[in-house]
Amino acid sequence: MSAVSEVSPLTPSDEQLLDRFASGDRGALEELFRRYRGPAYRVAQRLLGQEADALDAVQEGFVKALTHLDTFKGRSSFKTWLLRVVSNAALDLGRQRGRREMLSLNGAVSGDGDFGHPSRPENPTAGLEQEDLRRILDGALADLSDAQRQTFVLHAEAGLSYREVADALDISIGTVMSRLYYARQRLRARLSEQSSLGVDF
Amino acid sequence: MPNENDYKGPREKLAAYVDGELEPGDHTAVEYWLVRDPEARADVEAQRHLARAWQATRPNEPDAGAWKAALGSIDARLRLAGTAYRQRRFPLRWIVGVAAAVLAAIALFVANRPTPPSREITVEPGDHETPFVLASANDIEITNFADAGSDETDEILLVGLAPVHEPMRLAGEGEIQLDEMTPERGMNPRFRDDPGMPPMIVPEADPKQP
Repeated sequence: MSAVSEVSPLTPSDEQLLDRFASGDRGALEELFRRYRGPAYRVAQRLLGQEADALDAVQEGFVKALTHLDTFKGRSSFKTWLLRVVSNAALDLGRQRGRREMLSLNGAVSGDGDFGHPSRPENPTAGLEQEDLRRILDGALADLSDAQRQTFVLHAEAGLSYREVADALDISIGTVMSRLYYARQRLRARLSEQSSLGVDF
Repeated sequence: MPNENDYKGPREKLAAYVDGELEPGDHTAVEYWLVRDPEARADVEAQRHLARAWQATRPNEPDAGAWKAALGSIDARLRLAGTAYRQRRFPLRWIVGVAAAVLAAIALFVANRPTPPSREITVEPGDHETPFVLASANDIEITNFADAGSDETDEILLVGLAPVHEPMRLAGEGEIQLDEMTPERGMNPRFRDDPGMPPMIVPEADPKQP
């Protein structure tokens, strides 16, 4: 990565963008959205399992985060705080619409409505179709508690560090560590049940 | 720091080790643990395997059109929210109710005139561009839009985001029909048709409300 893209003085910080947004600069909103829409969407998608619902959660999260800026104390980064709000919105949406019901519908239509197929940087599961693997992971995630699922997705999908996840969820790093470990144990157990598909976890 | 020869920490540390989240001292201790404990090594390898499976199923992002629509929706909702907060002295539903009543009164006035020359109701762009909330999307139901899509009319239905920089034709003669007046909390709309005055709908205090 070039040094210019990392430290370009022309790139405004999140704080600068938030100040500009607060003074009515809609361009700042566009830049904040462009900056964080990707991780926000992936987090929501993992928590909800459906693309359209994930977009709804992203919108809800951005609106809530930006209309409650007064409650953002700056204790964590804006990204961390935004992802917390988005993930809470996704969990709320999932509870409202019934995640398990959506997943069963998903299985029935076999991924209809997807924006596209996920990329495959590496194939660790020879003999297992990508969509099958994703559906199994979705189902395994649904078996986790909300707290475990939110912790795991914020770390594994959004790339938040343990410290950032702890700040986002207002829990200790030890709790983050524990939730992640047991979430993985349960995911592995669920995946191992699919041994008939040629996978050994 | 644990003794490197007998350290066998909580298994949560193995996950933190895979994630590169351990302090240097703990990291070294876990590596000694892995050398001595094949079960721990298998645990670490399984966690790495799971991480690869997770990466392989990473969801693709929406296309540019979906992102644009999402941003537009966020922008619109933020504008409405911002306006609503500034108007907080009055309940939004009350404002919407009054605004709807005013619009209906305008329509009645226009409809009852003896064939006047066609006059358009327009909104001029002001010095400030903060939109005033008349009604939200949920407060309006379009049941009919005559000639929509016809090549023979230049009328268009504006659906988009404020501000609108050109005069906007809201409605013309006979284009609005008042079906009912729904009382809001604390406000009863009353139809007034005084001689010499245009027909109006005015809010009247609800005697049941304190």
